[in-house]
Amino acid sequence: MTIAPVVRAVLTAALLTASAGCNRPAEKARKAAQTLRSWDATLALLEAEAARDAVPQQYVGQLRRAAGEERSRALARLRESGGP
Amino acid sequence: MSKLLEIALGIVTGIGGFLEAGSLATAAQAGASFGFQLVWAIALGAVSIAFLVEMAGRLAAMSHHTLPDAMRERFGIRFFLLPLITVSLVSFLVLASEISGVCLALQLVTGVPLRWWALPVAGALWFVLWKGTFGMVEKGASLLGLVTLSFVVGALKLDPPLAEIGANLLPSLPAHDGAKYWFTAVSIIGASVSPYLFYFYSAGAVEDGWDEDYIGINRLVSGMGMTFGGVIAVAALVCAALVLKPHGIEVDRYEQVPLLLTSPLGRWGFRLFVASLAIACFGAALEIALQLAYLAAQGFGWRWGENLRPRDAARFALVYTVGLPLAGLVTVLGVDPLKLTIFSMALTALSLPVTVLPLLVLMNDPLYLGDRTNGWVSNAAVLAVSVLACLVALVAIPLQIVGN
Amino acid sequence: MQLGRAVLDQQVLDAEGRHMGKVDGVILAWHTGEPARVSALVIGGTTLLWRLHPRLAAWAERRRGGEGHVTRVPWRSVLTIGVDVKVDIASEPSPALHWEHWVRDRILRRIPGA
Repeated sequence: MTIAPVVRAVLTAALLTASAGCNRPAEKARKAAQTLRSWDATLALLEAEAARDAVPQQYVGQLRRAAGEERSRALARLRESGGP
Repeated sequence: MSKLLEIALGIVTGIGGFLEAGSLATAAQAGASFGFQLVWAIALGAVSIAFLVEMAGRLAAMSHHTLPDAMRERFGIRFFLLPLITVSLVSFLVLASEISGVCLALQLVTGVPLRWWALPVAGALWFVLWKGTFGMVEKGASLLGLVTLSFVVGALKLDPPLAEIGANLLPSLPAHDGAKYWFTAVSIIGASVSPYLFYFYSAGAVEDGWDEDYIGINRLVSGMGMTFGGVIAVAALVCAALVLKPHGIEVDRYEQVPLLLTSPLGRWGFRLFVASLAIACFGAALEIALQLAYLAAQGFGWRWGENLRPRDAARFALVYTVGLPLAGLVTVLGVDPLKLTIFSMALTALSLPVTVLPLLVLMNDPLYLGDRTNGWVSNAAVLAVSVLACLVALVAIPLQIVGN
Repeated sequence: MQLGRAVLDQQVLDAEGRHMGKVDGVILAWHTGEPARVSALVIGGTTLLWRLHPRLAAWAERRRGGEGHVTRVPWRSVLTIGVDVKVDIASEPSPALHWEHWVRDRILRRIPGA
C-alpha cells in the first residue's frame, strides 16, 4: 500500500518529537509534581464533600485508596527524575 | 405507532444513548485539564456522528441492506475483511471499557472491587441479549439512559458562564500541555464517532423495516438525537471545568469522577452519578455486543436478528455469547478502566478512515441509494473529520504513550 | 449483467425467504461456440478462501480432505436477482446451513433457553 511510507514518516517524526520533548527529567518531574498537587486537591475536596455528607463513607475509603496509589506512583516518578 | 411518536421516541433514544464510558471519561478529563476549551471537540464529534448515523439510516431505508451486508456486496470479500477486522477489534475494546464502567459503578456503590463484577456483568448482558428482543434492548436501555440528564441538571446548578462556553464552540489552541490537549481532543472525537453507533443504527433500521418513507424521520431522529445527546457530554465537561479545574484536579482515576455531581447535587448527585454510569455503560455494552454479532452475521450471510430465538440464529448468538465474557476478561485481568476507556477512544479515532470510508463510498452509489446519494457537503465534512482525526491521532497517541 | 456486482457476495434467500448464506462463488460453463454461461452459484465451503488467497484455500482443503460443505445452487433454481438473490431451494437439507446447525446442536443446545 502506498500510504505505508507516509505512515512510517509521520510516526518517526512523532516519536522523535516525543523523545526530544517528553523524556527530559525536568518535564517528568514537573508532571509528577502536578499529579501530586492534583491528588492533594482531590483529597481536600473529598473531605469537604464528606463533611457535608454528600458522599457515602465507603466511597471516601475508595477514593482515599486510589489517591494513595496514584501519589506513591507520582512520588516514585519524582524520585526517578531527581526532583526535589 | 404514529409518525410523530416514532420521531419523539427516536430522538429520546438518541439522547439517552449518547453518553457512555468514553464520552464521560473524555469529557471529565477535558473539563478538568482544559476548562471549556475543548467544547468544540464535543460539538464536532456530535455533528459528525449525526451525519454518519443519518447516512447509515438512509442506506438501510433505501437499499434494505445493513451496512456490513452492503459492504460485503459492494467491495467483495477481500476489501471487506479490513473494515470487518478493524471495526471488530476497536468495538471489542470499547465493549471491554463499557463493561469496566458498569463494574466501576458497582464498586462505587458496594465497595466490592470492580474485577469481581466483570464476569457477572458480562453474564447479565448476555442474559438480556439471549432472552430479549431488539426493541427491548434499544429502547429500554436508551430510555433508562435519560438518567444521564443529571449532568445537565448538575451543570446548570453550578451557574455556568453560557457565553464563555458558547465561545468555545470554536476551536482554539492550547496554552499548555499541547500533546495532552490534542490527545484529549482526538479521544473525544473517537468517543462520539464510534463505529458501533452507525453500524448498530443501520441494523436497527432494517430490523424495524424502514423504507423510503422514513428518510425524513431518519434525518430528524439522527440530527436532533445526536445533537441533544452531545449537550449531555458538554454538561459533563462543564461540571468538570467548574468543580475540578478551579482546584487544579486532573482526572487520573474513575473514582474522582463522581465529584462532578456530588458538588452541585450532594448525596443525590452521587446516586445519580452511579446510576448514570451503570445504565449508560450497560446500554452501550448491549449495543456493541449486538453490533459485533451483526457485523459477522451480515458480512457472512448467516441468519441474524435479535428478535429471533438463539436457536434460529445460532452463529449470530454465538458471537455475542463468546464476545461478552472475553470482553469481561479484560477487566478481570486488572486493566485500569479509565486508561482502557481513553485508549480505546483514541484508537477509534485512529481507525476512522477505515471504518468510515466504506460507508462514504456506498453513500455515493446510486445502486444502493437511488436518487438519495450524498451531497458534496456531507461527503466533504465526514471525510475531513475522519482523515484529520486519524492524522492527529497518529501523532498524539505515540506522544501520550511516551509522555506517560 | 455484471456478475461481480449483481450476484457475487449477495445475500441468498431460500424458498421460504430466510437467509441461506452469501454467494461466495459462481461457476461458469463453456460450450464450444457459445458464450460462457453461469451454471451455478456456490455457497460455503472453501470457496471464499480461494478468493482470499489460493494457498489459504489449499491448506484448508488439505486439512479437511476436501472442499468442505459446499452448496451448489443450479442457475435454473435462481428465481430473482435484486436486493437479494432468491432461490427455489430449501436451505434446511442443503449443506449451506451445516455450520449453523453444528453451532446450534453442539454449543447452543447446552445453554438453557436457546
